[in-house]
Amino acid sequence: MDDQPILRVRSLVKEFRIRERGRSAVVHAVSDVSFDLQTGGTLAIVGESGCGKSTTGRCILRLIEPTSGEVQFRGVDLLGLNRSEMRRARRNLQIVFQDPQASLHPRLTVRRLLAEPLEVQGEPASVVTERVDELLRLVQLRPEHLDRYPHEFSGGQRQRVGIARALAISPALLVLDEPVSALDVSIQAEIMRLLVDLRERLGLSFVFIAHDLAVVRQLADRVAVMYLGKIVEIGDADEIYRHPQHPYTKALLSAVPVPDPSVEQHRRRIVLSGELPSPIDPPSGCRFRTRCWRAEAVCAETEPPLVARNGSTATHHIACHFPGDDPLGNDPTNIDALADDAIANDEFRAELSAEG
Amino acid sequence: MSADVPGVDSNVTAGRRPILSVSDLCVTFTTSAGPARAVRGVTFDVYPGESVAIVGESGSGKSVTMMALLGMVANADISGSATYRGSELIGMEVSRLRHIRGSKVAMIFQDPMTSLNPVLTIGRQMSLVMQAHQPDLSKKAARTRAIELLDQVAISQAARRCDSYPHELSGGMRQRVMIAMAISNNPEVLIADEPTTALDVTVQAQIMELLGDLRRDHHLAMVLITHDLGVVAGAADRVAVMYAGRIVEQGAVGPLFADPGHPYTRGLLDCLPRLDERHEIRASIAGVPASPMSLPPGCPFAPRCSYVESRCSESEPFLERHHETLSACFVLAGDGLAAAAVDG
Repeated sequence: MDDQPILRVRSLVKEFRIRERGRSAVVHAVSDVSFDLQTGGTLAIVGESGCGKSTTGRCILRLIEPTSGEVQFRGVDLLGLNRSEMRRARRNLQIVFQDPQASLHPRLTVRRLLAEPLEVQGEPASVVTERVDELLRLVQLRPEHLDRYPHEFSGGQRQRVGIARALAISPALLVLDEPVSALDVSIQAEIMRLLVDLRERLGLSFVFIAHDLAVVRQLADRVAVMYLGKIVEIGDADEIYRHPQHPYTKALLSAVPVPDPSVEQHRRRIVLSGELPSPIDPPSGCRFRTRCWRAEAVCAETEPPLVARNGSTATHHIACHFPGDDPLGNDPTNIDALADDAIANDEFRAELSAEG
Repeated sequence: MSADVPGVDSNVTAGRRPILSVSDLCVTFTTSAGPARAVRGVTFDVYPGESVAIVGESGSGKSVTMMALLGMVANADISGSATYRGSELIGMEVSRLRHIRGSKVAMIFQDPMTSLNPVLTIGRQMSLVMQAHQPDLSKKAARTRAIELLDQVAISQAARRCDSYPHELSGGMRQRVMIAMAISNNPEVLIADEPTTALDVTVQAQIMELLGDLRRDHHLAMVLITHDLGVVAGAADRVAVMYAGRIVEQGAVGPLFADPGHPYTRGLLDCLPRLDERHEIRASIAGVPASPMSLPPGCPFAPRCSYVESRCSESEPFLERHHETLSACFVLAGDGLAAAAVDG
């Protein structure tokens, strides 16, 4: 890895104007998101539906035009580029979508699907043919697959086509938007393996968008956790999994089932109560406070800034007034202490509200 | 099945009869490309109050099995037997089946958006389901009960939500509505077909907790259909793993996870993403699932199996004892010495 990050995102904001019940309203989809991605690294952006992770991914490629902020690729701000400059820049930035069934044209053969991006970038026909064969080998598909249509493939094979198409023009950075979420578990593992292999062989950098912290455990070296348009915690993967500080990160870790009945049947879980608030009218102060068992008055008044964790390397940042100082040791499944904390606080609050 | 068969907890079965008993169930669809053998001789029992998970990947026949026994499969040849409290469900007249389906045996589906009627309010749909089985129930009483049920599945402001349309609710709330509807006629068996697959992890945790509470409170038996062994670990007493239309392994949840006797079960466990360790990604099951249109000769898992031997493509193995589970594998089960040698 060299010192300059390949991607530097600063204060990214995306607001959608919509009309709701006859009135105009603003959806705060992404609010002030900043992060760096080192060359050859993988940043996982993790959060639930509606947290703004996919919008962030699309804003990086300007598939959605950001409202404000900066997206620097190798030092160049992409948001300042005109159309033709942006097209050239996209040589280096590609995206793989969750559902290859929906993102691959159903009436184009694999050969056409893979040739198209090369032709758009003006490659001569001889180069195109050679490159298409090479791509096929890269994603471990066979030559006889070239003349088939997307519907003739299984989900896993289709996603291989999706990946090959994204790799066609040899990008340096891939945005992977939940690339395995729609696949069976055995196929998921194969695709994850392929991605790791490609990252190493081609020196790619990944922004990997996922809704579940388990999926990216094996792949990510940095993890950003998003909630309602904001990064609430970001750090090196091992720090996030071993010493999660933000209550939301802990709840996300706690929600992942452990495939071991002896652990699972005795494990206590932090189960978040309530629903995700609307991004049209996010809560004041900390956006997570309405579902947080640690919330106090200050959380509604002041928004916690994203600051470095005490005593850690400066690379672990948390946006919380009361970040956990109870490290989980080396076992993120050992959340009993935290669950007790959450339960005690819930009971305490139930008592308070019962008293009036 | 007798109580000494591995995988059947004798405490559960002692002196009790299964509430749901499936025996040698086969479902073959007729398609333009020939017969598709989706379910090929599935046998299992569900006892009152217990939770049985049926695990498998897309196309393994897990959903078709349950839909067939409720008479919800069209254009298929169905043979074998499925009884609810001794009454045969396969071939039962629709009018009689209707008294059981949705009432004694209820089902919830993966995608609540497509199983709820988009043009009726939540309360109206719930009332219809209740009135179908309780014709004497007045409109007013049905509404009152609907609000009670919504409250029970932890939907806040239940009275107001009763007048909402499905599109006004989040995915998690819609699944809660489906669950409320499923329990509205006090069923004894709840079939949950991938109830959390379309949901976020934190919502999944909420829904699984809710299902667990309901099971305890109402002494419900549950059949959980899922592709995710992670969910199974905390939610099932017994597990049946399906592959290519057959149960290839079954047993109590503990032994099945600790000491699986089928290479497919081992593979499924190996390739689960885990939080508690960082390891190499193991893509332990190569290739693609067998197609019900063209099953290979012998063991259908053989083409993807790392333990494969020549006899595996000659005939198909049946369930045999492997330590504490039943497993359909020539190499690992039914042959104590071979199994011990492989286990090291």
